[in-house]
Amino acid sequence: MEWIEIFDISLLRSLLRSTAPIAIVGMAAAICSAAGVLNIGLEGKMLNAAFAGVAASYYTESMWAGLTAGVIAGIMTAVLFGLLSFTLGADEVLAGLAINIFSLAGTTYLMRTLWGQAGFFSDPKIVGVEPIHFTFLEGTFLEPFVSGFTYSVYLMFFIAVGLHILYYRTRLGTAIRATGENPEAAEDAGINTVRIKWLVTVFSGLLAGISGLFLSLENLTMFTEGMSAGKGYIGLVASSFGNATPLGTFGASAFFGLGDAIGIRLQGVYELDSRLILMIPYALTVVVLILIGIRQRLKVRPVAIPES
Amino acid sequence: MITNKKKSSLILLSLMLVLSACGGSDTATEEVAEVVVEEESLDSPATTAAPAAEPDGLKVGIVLGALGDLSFMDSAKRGYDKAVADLGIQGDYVETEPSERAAAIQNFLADGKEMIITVGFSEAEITKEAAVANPDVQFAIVDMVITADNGDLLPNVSNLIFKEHEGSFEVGYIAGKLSKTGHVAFMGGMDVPIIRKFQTGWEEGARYANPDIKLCDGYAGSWGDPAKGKEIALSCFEQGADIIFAAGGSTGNGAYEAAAETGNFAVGVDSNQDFMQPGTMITSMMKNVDFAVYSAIKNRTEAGMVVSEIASYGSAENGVGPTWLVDGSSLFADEGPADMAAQVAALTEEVKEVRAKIVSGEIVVTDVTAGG
Repeated sequence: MEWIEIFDISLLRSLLRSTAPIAIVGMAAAICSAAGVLNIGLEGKMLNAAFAGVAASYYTESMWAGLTAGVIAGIMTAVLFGLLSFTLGADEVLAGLAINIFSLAGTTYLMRTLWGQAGFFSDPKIVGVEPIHFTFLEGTFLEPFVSGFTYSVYLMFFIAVGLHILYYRTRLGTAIRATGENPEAAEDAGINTVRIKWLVTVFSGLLAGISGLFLSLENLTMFTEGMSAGKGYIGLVASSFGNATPLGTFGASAFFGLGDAIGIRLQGVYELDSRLILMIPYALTVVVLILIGIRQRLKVRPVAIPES
Repeated sequence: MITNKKKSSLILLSLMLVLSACGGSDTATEEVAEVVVEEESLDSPATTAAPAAEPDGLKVGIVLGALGDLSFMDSAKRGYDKAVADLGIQGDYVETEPSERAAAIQNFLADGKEMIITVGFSEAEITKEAAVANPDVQFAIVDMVITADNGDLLPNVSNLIFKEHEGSFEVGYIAGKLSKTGHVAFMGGMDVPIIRKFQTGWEEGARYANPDIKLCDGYAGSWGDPAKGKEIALSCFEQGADIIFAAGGSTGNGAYEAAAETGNFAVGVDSNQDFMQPGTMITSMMKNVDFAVYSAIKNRTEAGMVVSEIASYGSAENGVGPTWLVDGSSLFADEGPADMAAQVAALTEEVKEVRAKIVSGEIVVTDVTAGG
């Protein structure tokens, strides 16, 4: 395969599929960090949602039951995080880590006890989500670009735009950003910061749930041990890279998605060593973290002048 | 200004990424143990339930990885179960995470086992150590040949290996004949020599069937990442391939799913996986691990003393190859598209001829692991 042949429509499609889970969970991270909540536990939320989705779909043979159960599992995990962090006062980072470790072990344990399977669980009774085909686009040049994805791929654009409007055009958005930037001042202005933190946490559970369901019911129709494979963390980095803004996070996620999509195709070019190529998404993340560090160092220190 | 909290969280984040980069790439089958799930102690009900154990039967212990993979480990367990049922041995098995296996061997030794079996090339080091230290105990290892430091075989080890390249050649031949686009694909789990052995055999077989065949390949870097397996398969299908051979544990399931979704075809691995996507799975490249394990126990029982052997299972022994030959079944003949299913019977005869040529040496399949 030649170098230039990598860039075609199939790369774009692969890019969108790879971006969706990162972008959706990334925006969950973004809204949390905008409100000053460092939500490490997204990985666990994704995993629980992915598992609950498969379990519910398997037992009821209904896609909707699977999707509902997955979203509920994501939100419940978020509520657990909120209870640990806000109600019981645990350190947010530790609470998040605990949730991630617990979720990995818990879903693995349940998979083995319920279905006696190690590594993965796949069964024809699990009803997955079918791709959406836009019949009115059939035969047009647009079809290969926009048709035939599952709903999350379309949803991520709406979430990004919706969150952007929420951030900058609504009172709630202002309250969220105020809570993150200066909680004391926000309290003085009559904002209930604890309520805001709860709100974004629960909302992040919903988004992480959708992202987890993308893995187990949309992209694949199976559950695999640890199938979130670090996407929750990559989402956190994307939100950091994107300055915790919805559109910035979305752009950063697409950057990571591109790394993933190109990696698979690069293996075919010049017989590059697959192990080197497979490092790309993780190496990119480390590079981005370094860039964030440099950017923050270069930022002009804010002068303590009260705003008018 | 960068606050201390922010700084420490960035550091933590990088750390987590490094961890998940390692953790994500290998789950169930090999390497890093992330979660200790359950270790059956040696006297738990599951292990003492072995039926038909004569009090003076050979005491055998087998150290397994995670069961339920519908593939490699389950096959080893089947061989052990058959030995327990047929040979009157006193058997114990233990299901372990990779980090627990050295201790599991020591437990078996402390329990007075006369034969200990390990499964998988990554167990070579710990098996060798225990075998050297306990010359009176019979050891057996699947997928690896253990040698002493001077290159000789150890006097008390049965080395059970497979000529995966020969079986892969046979399924590659089938794919080469059945591919309508003249383009077949290979998906590997980890990029390790044993998987390269599958790939080389597959590609040589496909080329033998169709000298103009085009090839596509990709490695996922994991035994447990079906999402990546699916992307690799889709990428190859989009380039024009229509049959994919997946040798990579549960990563391969993603490739099978991709094939079923896009109306393409797949070839399974290790166990008979034809049922996983009926009509999409043309066949599976079987490795008769169960037969190898059973035979090793039988040999030791009949010898009455420790034995040293390399038991190599290839086409000649019917130890590797397509389901069509190894167990004489073809789900594809019933479930596949009519035009392709109709070719199964004739193609089976052709593969038999190919096998005869491999056995006679007329066809020499490259073994990439040979010669160091």
